[in-house]
Amino acid sequence: MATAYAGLSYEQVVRKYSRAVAGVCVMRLQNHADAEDCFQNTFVKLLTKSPSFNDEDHLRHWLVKVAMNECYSFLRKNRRTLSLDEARDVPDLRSEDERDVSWALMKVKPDYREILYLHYCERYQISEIAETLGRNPNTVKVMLKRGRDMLKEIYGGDEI
Amino acid sequence: MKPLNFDALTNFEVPEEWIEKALSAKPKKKPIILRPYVIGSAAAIVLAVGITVFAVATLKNNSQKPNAFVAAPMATVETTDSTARPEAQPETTDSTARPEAQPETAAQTEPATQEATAVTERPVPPTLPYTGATVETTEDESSKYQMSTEWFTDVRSVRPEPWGQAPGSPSVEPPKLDISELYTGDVIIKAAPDSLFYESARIDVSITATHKESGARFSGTVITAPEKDENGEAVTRFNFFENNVYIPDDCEYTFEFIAYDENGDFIPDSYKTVKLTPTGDQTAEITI
Repeated sequence: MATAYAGLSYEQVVRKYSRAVAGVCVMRLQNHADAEDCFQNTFVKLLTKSPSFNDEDHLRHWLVKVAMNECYSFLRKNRRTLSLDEARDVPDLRSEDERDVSWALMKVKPDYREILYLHYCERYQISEIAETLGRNPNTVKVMLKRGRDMLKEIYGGDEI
Repeated sequence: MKPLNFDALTNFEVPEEWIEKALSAKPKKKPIILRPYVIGSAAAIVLAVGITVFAVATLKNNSQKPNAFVAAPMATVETTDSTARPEAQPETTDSTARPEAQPETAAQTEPATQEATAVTERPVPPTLPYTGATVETTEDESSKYQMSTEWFTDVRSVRPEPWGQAPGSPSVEPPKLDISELYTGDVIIKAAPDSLFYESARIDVSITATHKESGARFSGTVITAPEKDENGEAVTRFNFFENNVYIPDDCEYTFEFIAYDENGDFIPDSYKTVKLTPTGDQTAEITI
């Protein structure tokens, strides 16, 4: 019997939330091969743990949280540095705009980058980011502000 | 300055290969035999069985040698090949290690054979399965027996005691005695119904004496298990010579008796000392 996740089948969940999970992994790890590992592990965990979800938001938060934890675990196990050039070589499937934003984001410190990504790409509210990252909402707000400033300084953009 | 367009990131296309892999992923379940609780349960069972077996084996061993604390041997006499009694002790070098392997007294030299025959006809014939004493004879002195200075005999148990633990050697070289100088008779111990020893499950007999001529002291312990006979007395019997314990006759022996109940506990006041001078092959009868 197929398990339902907030009313969705496993395949539907994978197809619907693959971009969110992949985005978190790529943003955090800056490497497609590593991001793919974490991406797969996230969905394997969904299969093995079979948690029950109240709604799709709950499911989405769970997936993003698990993906982040997978990335943290991966980084703990495989501590290594990645040059920006190497990172820039990877996203061959992205547009120029995308590469520019990625390049700018990757120069931001990882903690700030994560918050910026969740807020601007995944459209997370401050409270949701705080809940997902286990931080105080005020802290998230301050970090978001600082992250924005950093990004502005790096990228030189006026409209963030 | 160019504005940052985060929407560009949200347009990120996940490779179809990733999605296919995620869809085909199946959780790996460990075989049931490798699950931790199964391994733990099996280990606990094995441990429990092992401990039980060990405990049972230990208890069994202890029940076979309840008197190990009674008579720790003090010394042992080295044994050489016996030419005087080859058929009597074909494995004399192993006599201390494997006493149960010693041949019965019927296989000894003629006087001993006669004695053993007589033994079987006695009314109270508990066998003496073990003695730690050894004998040394040579071709030149085929009729001589090295006097036993220390010995230990447990009438009830065939389990040998560790003679190798002897802490020292006798100060005087034990003399070699002719068969005619040995005490070869039986010692019969009787306990009347009114005696403290009557109900005892075990009587420990400590025997000490000094050889008149050489001054060599000798001593030993015999553990006996008295049995009730038809006369209503508790009787036990043992014979030194039959058990290869060679002690001289015509000496004053001091016999000390201590009784224990079936639990191995000392029976209060059950201590008795008897002095006796046995001779030749005469039976020494002691009533305690």
